[in-house]
Amino acid sequence: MNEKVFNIFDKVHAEEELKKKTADYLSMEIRKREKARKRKGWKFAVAFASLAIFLLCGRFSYKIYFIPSAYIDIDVNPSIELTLNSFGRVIRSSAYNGDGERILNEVHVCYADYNDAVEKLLTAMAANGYFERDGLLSVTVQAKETSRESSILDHLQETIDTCSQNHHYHTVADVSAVTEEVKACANKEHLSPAKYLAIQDLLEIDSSASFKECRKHSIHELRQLVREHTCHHESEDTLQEPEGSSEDSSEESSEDSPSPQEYETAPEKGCHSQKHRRKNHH
Amino acid sequence: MKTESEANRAISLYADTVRRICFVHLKNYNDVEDVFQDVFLKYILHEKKFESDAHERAWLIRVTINACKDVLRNPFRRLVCSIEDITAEPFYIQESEGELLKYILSLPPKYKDVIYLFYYEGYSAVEIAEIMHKKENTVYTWLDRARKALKKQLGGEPIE
Repeated sequence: MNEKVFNIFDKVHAEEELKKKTADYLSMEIRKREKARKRKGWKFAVAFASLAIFLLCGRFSYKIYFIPSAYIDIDVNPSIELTLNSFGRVIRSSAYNGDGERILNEVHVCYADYNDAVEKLLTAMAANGYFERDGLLSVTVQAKETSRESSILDHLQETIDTCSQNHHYHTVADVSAVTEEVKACANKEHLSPAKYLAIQDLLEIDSSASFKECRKHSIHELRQLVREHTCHHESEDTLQEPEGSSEDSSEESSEDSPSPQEYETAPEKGCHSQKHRRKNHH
Repeated sequence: MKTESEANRAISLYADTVRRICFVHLKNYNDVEDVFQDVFLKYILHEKKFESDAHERAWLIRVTINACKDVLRNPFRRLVCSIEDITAEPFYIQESEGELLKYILSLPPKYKDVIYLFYYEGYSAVEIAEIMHKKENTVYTWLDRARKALKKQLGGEPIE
């Protein structure tokens, strides 16, 4: 019986035609899959290359986006610096004093257009009553390209004028450009360029003043002190009598002391903005 | 993936084994052709290396049995019953063998497998258990039941 079972199965063989057909089929499949594997390899290579290019561009774009291109410093008493990129977006904001920090905590301006950022900041300052107290808004711009600087100044003036009309605050606005050197000196002292220049102006007139004492004043107070000292000198010159004036003032020549025209003198009230380029002060 | 030469080698070595398992399970030559090609396609796509020729053979037997079961489970397959239709060329069976073959082919699939693997391929119950992923005792039980069924069909002739 065992032999019979064996013999039955032993007679069964795979047909030659079946074997040939299967061999041909497998050969075709092997070639087809080899081709598909090579194509897949190319697809991976292309995808990988595209990803690499995308990442590089992204990294490059990221770097370009965060390169500082201009600085806007706003000083009322809150003293704030905005760093702009070449697209006019605020990439960094920092405060020079506590009031500035308070305003920046209230208003988030990062990645906003600089006009929107300035408008938000001014609105917040007006809401907190800073303009009523101090009454002088100094805005300085420093950019590597002069054309850019001019453009920013023009836009800022418009923004400031519109803002004051919308929010009904009255303040004197001084919008000007500063040089890179002034900005650097001001940064060294952790002051806004406008305040730094105001202190320099005061120190030139009043030799008894010290830098340390001057920085405690707001920019409005500094300007007032400069005006007072300037008027005092003018009245002395008019009288032409050395009235126990200080040694310093007598030694000063008119060439040294800055004339009133070098400052932006503003009308008493109302929103008034002026634009000019500062000389290099040290 | 294996090469063409490896595929041809496998066909020359194992074609008959695969064919016989198809013979045991399938009644339709088209199904035989499909399973035959599927089994060898799976062989060339099998990435892992076989431990030995015996391992390779056992693997092919396992895959063929499963492929046949899949075909039988498919509700759309054609059903053709004649024994002569199973092979492209009719093979000659002695009269006495013809009846035995008929009874073997009428057994349940799992019994047919153990009868073929035990009596033709010469595997032990332990080896059959390993191929079919069953317990050794299960294989013994199936063998026993297959023999009894055949004995009953053949009118008491013993099958050892």
